[in-house]
Amino acid sequence: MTYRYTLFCALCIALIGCEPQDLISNASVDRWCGDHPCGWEVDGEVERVATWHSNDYAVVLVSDDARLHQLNQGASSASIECMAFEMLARVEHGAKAYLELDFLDDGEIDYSERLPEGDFIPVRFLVTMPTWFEGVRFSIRKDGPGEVTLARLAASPAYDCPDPPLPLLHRPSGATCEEDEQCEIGNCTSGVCDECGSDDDCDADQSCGEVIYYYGFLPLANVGRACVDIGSKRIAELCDRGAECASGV
Amino acid sequence: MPAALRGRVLVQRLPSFSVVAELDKASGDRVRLALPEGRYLATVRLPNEARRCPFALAHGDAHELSLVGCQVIPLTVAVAKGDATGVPHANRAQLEPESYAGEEGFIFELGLGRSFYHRDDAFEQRLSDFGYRIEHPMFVLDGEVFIGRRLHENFALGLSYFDLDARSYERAVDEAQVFEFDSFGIGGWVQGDYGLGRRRVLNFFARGGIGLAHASTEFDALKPLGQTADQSPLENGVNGTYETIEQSFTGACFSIGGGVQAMPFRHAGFTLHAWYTYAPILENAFGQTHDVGGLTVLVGLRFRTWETP
Repeated sequence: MTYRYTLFCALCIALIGCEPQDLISNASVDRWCGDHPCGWEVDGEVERVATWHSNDYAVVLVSDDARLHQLNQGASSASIECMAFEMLARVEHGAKAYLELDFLDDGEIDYSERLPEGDFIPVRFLVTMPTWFEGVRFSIRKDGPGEVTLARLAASPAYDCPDPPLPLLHRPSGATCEEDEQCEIGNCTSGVCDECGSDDDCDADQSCGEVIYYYGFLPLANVGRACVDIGSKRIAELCDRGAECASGV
Repeated sequence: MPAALRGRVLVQRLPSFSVVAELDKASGDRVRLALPEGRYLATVRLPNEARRCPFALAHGDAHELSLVGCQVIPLTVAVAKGDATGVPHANRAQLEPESYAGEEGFIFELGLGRSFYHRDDAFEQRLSDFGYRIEHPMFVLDGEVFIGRRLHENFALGLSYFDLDARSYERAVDEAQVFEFDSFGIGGWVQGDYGLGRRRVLNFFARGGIGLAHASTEFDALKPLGQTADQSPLENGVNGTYETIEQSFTGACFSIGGGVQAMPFRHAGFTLHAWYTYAPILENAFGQTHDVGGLTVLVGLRFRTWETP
């Protein structure tokens, strides 16, 4: 009996673990905090509007440049290679509105997709994530006149994206990479963006040496280049040149 | 009835065999009976035989009963056990029809059955678009209560209460969000029917009705929170923030149907009834309506009073 109970519990936990993970909170934008949908940030003017029921709400982007956005700092390439979007919006004929993704939340839009015109027609599509990212800001932006009403924007991890990964440039040191141009400093060594390419990229009392990047709690690591204090490394630590080591060797 | 006719005369209306007159005719005088137009059967009991004479009356028409050409029914002496009257058993129903005479009066029906309601209309599609999935109950029976009054051999009027569509939809957001509705109708019916056998033992009927349908809805609406509620991790996404919003809708409904009633007993029997109801009364904020009617098939118990002339 104990064995069966344990098996049942394990099955329940496994099933719960398989539930789609919502990457956007208040995806249905029907929970409102004052004059904005809870969990969302607002630029420009928006208004609450009833949908199929007088007490089920959506948000209408009133001003021509209105923008609704939300940052998910926890989303990363470590767990998400593909993202499924589900959207329900009313976009008047001629109105322009975009779904935009800003990886790293650096203000640079890395993905933009125009919302199709329609009267609350459900839309689902997949977007292949960059090979590396940490944090993403989801935005719905209106550009110009016309009615744009958002009733739902949901995102969840998926596994069946057919397209190649989105390019993501300006990756910081320690980020995984495939090509030099993906890295902020321009050097991709052993699949990791370096912090420096030579001693010239470092302070005077530092040297561009070898370091190990760990991936959080995972037992995975990569070797890259970063500025290290001259003579700071002890015996058996990874190094590239003698200047990095306390012994000078 | 001609002056020379002598005997016990029973006049029954066809096809129901309801008794409209019964008299002992003595010879010497003519007897005139006033009857509405229709088909009749006159059974004349003579000392040694009985004669059965069908005839028809048109509006304003007069018919003289003649035994010529009538079917002769021999009277055999077959006294039932315990029957001390000595009345011949043959054709006793025609000769002693008291238990079959009359017509049903008030009618009461109780039915339970299964309904087949509309699916995939614009109303339901819109709910689906907004993430609501229908919750299928294990098994639901719909009911009907009917009260009627027979006004004519082939005609009755009635009132009924009947269940209409009821459903529940659920959407998974922070917690399950439910929208459900229940509906019923109250209407007046006109029944046209055709009875067979004595005491209308089988009655085939068609009904048409008009009335009012009423639907009530309940929706778990999210309560609006304060301006800064989402800045507090404790308050944001907190459970129990739903409030139940109730709405009601009323409108006309139309029904048509038919069936058969079996009345093996004088005052009780059964009914098998199917009807279709059109009741597009439920409406969403986009103006899309849902017809809470549909096809209903039910079986039930039927009770009636029996009124003799």
